[in-house]
Amino acid sequence: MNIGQVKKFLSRSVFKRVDVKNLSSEISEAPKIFKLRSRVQTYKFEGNITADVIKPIEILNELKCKTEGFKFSHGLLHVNGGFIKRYNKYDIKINAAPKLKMSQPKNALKQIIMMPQERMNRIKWQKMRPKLAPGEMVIAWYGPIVESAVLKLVLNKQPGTLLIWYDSRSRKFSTRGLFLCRRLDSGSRPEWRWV
Amino acid sequence: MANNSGLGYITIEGNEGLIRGALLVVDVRGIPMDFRYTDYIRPTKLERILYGNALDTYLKEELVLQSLLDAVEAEPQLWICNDAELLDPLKNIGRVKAVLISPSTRQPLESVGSIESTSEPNVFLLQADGVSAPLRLAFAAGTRSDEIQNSAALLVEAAGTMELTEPFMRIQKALSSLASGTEA
Repeated sequence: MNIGQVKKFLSRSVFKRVDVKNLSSEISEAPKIFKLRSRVQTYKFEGNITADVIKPIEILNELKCKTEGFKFSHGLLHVNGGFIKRYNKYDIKINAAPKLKMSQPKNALKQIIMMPQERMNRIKWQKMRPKLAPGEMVIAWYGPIVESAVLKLVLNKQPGTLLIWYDSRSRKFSTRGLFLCRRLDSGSRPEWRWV
Repeated sequence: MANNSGLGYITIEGNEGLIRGALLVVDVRGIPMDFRYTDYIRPTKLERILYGNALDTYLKEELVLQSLLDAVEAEPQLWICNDAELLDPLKNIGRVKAVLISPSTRQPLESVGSIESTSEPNVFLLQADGVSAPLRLAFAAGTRSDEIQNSAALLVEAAGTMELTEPFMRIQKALSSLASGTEA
């Protein structure tokens, strides 16, 4: 036992004193700090990859992680939310999204030329009236109609419209109106009158 | 371009899911001179994502309208549409005057040929004939007053020999007929 230990013993047993030391003076080295390392699974892919196989595809192209100072290289793909995998970049074919396009408009002149024009009954707007015999009344007026170019007229009874088929080769342009009249007293058929 | 007469009716219908268009050029009697139509365009899910809000505009203006106008051979003196969104592109792409026409419920104006401005900008009422209510005409912003007068004069002239809004109904019937023919 050396003198220091004797002093320490006497101080503790006689004077009830205990040495208090500054901890910082005891620590000579800073605590060890370990870096967290990101582990990336890599696989060698054999064969061709098309956009269909790896859809949806997210390319981590030279993505830099600034805090740790590392970066992902080309060819790292994130496939369907799974692990990051490495492929040979020359095996990857990225297809560009197709530009929206449409086929050429179609010509259907032959079909529409066969269709009739439709005239509404405009009797409420037409102020002119044809000469009427006693007991006759006007039901409808349709116009304007190029009478000389008419091939066929058909009354579409349900909506009360007149269907007109024109001769497309006609060069006539003068128009007339067509009244539909009927007698009130008997069951006679309605009568058409050009004006 | 074979000639330059008559009226051209153009319609594009549908929304981002399905869009098609058609145009009908008629002479002043309403007799068809040219009729073109497109099949429905169905954008894929990817295309909808890529084009976003611009999809409708792109489909209507860049694809359907442009294709139809490129295809037409009998170019009319006036393009008539039933959709205000087509006025500007028609004026720019169509190379001739364009107007939107629709029926109104207003009382007849003073005489045939009368034109009256409304509270809406570039919108007018035209008494095209003596047997109907005035038509509502809308022009693209920036249309000159002489173009408006010329368009109105053309419409009044045509209204003397045909019913101005009727070709739109014929286009619809033709499209339905062609669609049912294709399905059959």
